[in-house]
Amino acid sequence: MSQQASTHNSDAAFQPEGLSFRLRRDSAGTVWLDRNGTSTRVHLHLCFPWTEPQRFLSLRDEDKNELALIKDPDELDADSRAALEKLTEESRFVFPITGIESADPDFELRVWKVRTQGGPRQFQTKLDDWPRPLPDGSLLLRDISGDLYHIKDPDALDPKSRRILWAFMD
Amino acid sequence: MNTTSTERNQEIVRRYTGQPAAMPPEVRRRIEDAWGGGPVQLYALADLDHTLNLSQDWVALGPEHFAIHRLSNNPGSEPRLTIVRLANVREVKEVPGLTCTKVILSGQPGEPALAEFRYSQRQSRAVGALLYVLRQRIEGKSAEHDGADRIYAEGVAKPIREAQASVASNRAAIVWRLLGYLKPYRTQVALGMLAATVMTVVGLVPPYLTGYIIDTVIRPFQDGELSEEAALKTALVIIAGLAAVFVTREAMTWVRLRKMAVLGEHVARDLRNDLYDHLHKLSVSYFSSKQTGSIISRVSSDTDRIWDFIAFGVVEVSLSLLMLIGLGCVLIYLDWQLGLLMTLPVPVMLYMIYRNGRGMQRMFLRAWRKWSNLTDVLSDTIPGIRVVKAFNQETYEKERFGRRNATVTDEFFRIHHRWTAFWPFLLLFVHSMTVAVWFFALPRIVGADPTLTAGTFVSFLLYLGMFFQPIEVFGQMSRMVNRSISSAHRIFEVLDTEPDLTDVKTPVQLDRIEGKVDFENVTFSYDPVRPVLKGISFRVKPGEMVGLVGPSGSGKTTIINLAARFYDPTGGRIMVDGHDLREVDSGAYRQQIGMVLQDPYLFHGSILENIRYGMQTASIENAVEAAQAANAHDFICKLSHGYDTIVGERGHTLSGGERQRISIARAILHNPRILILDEATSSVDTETERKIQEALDRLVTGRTVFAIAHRLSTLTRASRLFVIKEGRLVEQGTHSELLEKTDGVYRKLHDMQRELHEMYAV
Repeated sequence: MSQQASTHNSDAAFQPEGLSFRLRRDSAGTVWLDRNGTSTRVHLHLCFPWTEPQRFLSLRDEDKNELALIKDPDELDADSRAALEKLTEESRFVFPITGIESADPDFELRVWKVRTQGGPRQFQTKLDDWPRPLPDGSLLLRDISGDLYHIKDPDALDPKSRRILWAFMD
Repeated sequence: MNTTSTERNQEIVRRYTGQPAAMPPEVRRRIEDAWGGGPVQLYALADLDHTLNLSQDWVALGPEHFAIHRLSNNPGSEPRLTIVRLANVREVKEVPGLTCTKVILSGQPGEPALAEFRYSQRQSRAVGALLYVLRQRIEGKSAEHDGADRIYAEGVAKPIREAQASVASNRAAIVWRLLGYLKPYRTQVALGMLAATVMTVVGLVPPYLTGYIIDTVIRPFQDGELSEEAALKTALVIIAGLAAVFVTREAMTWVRLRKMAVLGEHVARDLRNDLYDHLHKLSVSYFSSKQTGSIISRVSSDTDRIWDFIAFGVVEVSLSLLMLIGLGCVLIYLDWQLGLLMTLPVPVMLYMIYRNGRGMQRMFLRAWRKWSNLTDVLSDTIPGIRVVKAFNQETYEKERFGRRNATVTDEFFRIHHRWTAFWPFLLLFVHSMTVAVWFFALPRIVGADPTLTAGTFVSFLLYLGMFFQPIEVFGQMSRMVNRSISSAHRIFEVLDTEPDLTDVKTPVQLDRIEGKVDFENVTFSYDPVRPVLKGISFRVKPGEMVGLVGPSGSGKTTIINLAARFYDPTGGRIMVDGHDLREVDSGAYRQQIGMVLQDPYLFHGSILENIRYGMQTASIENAVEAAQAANAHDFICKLSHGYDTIVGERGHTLSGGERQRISIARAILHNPRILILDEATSSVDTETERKIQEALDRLVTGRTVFAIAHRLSTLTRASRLFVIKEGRLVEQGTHSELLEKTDGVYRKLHDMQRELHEMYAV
């Protein structure tokens, strides 16, 4: 296999070694990085989850040491790419909001009642926590538990949702 | 945490998350039946399914099993249960993502996973507690926990509780409770409300008298039905009545304003005192979980808003209501047709004000957000101005500020456009009522058979002008009342917080302790599951100095927090001079505790006041002696104001070493029997460290001392060292005894520090 992703070991981060590797997914769903005859279980960390969600994927071991930085998954072989895809699906997941029922203040909190692709959900943000505008024009909300909610295209929402969201958009 | 707090957490879970407040009994029963014995000991909600849709799957841990209870996608189908024997689980792996975390339970290597489930961050505390106990069991360790319902509800409710506090209350209950603070001032309240009522009722009289004078004096006189003498006589009586009304009205206004304003101050003062007293009863953990600014604002700005509410809100709202009802009654009494014409549109006007308020709220929200964008630039650049200049980014920052400033201004323009259009529109509505009154009234005045007198008509017009004020008050007051209720909620949240640590009814008074401290199998945890200390036992003799060493997070600080009784142990006991610390008077005990911390805290005030903080009655001579012993006297005297130098809020006008020596002087003067030194010499240069060390050497003599230090060299005076690792006392002995253990924790720490020292020395 030949691919251009840079790889590191934990002691020499930022110093590409130019070693090749393969990714594979076992029957338990775990993704392994095989290199030089050794296999290491890897986690995925997205370096730019919002500005470059498909690129700069950092593969790390159990101790969070970076094993490889994949600048572009297209440079991987097909099997590795498939294994990586499974890994990224859950890593990238945030609740996709498809509609907003209400966003009302309630004693120091703002209570959001929303529709997501996975079903209705209620969450809270602090009163002075605002939705974060992302470079692609979408909006990201973070609730007080740390869960993330994404509004891909605010203008495509129904009129009621847009009216509620108006105060939170530029 | 007791049952009441569990119920409160469950109420929060129900109200704010929409997920079950506890595992449903049928799910619990099904799981327990399936694994054939043993109760569900811990559980959590796995709220994401394998397609990442929201679900209500439950994961549960029993004495010998782990279970996943999944609802079927087909309605009417039985739920699916996955039961795993703990004996088969080799590993529990978590794969965290931005929002979803996947948990995989694995058996033998190479075999498919035994079970897997997914959850969102909201469930992370409850799942984390369950996985912690599961991992402990896999490793063959015991993990104590108490109450599955409690742990689940607390875990889910915690972020909401921390952000918002105890929330299970409604607005009416809060207002009612707030009004309860008026009880001690019943007389003033009664007087204030009576004056306000009289003021309002009397205010209705002048328009009536105006109409009366027209109908009974002016018009009969002009028609020749009344002599000049009689007309003047009657007019004078009415004018005298008008004057009396105005005097009464303003007198009542004075009484009302004075009584209610003073009353508001009384209530605000009482709340501030209650709040501050209660804050001192709360344990250290409360202050760790709240931001300082939030606590301060509750004592200051929140109580100030309560003054607004008592002084104006209560009266203005009730008077406006009274005024509207009074006006309606008077008008209908004078002429029912015109009365209805004027009163029926009032609900429409109130609704218009309400709608406008809602719209304005959205606009203010948008403006507030943009305003905070603007202030973000300020809070970024002002503290970081050196960086801005160093990277020559002034132009960039000015443009950034300018752009945000422009968008804020646009929002304010939008707000101004709205309100400047609304109020004239509303006034036009009011004027249209006036026109309608004219339109319907004039034919009845000038017709062949007049049914309305000119005086009554003028009275109507005057009353019409009075209608607008109470309506406007409703519009303005709703925002103020809402803000006051929020403030009251924040205040009551503190007052309702139970102290974690309370003295027993008849505590043992330890007037002068010897300083013998025994830790007997002490365990402690900050949360219901994960222990920070695991069965710590040791004895410290009176006057002995012990050093606590170990890696960060090992539990050293927790030990000294327990020794100072900032917390009570969750298991075992701590004995001081043979008395269980939970049985002794904590105030009297802490009088005999001294602390010198890494970041010494100096209060705003003079150096002398700071040195005498623990013993306010100490003489100046004793304070100077303490400063001399602390190597502080010399630098204090070099300051132009000497001991009278005012130090800033946190002593910023002094260096770290100087502040530390003042805190040592404070401890010396306090003369504690048990002394706690927590990293007292870190973050200072070598020369300062030497001076502090000298001072500490004098301070520790004759006292029981617990000392924490990362630099092991600073513990040379300790008679024994306790090595703490992962919440356990793993080694103890003198410095040389511990060094002899070649594989010991202390030896490794010591060697590591020596190597580092040599590296930097090179």
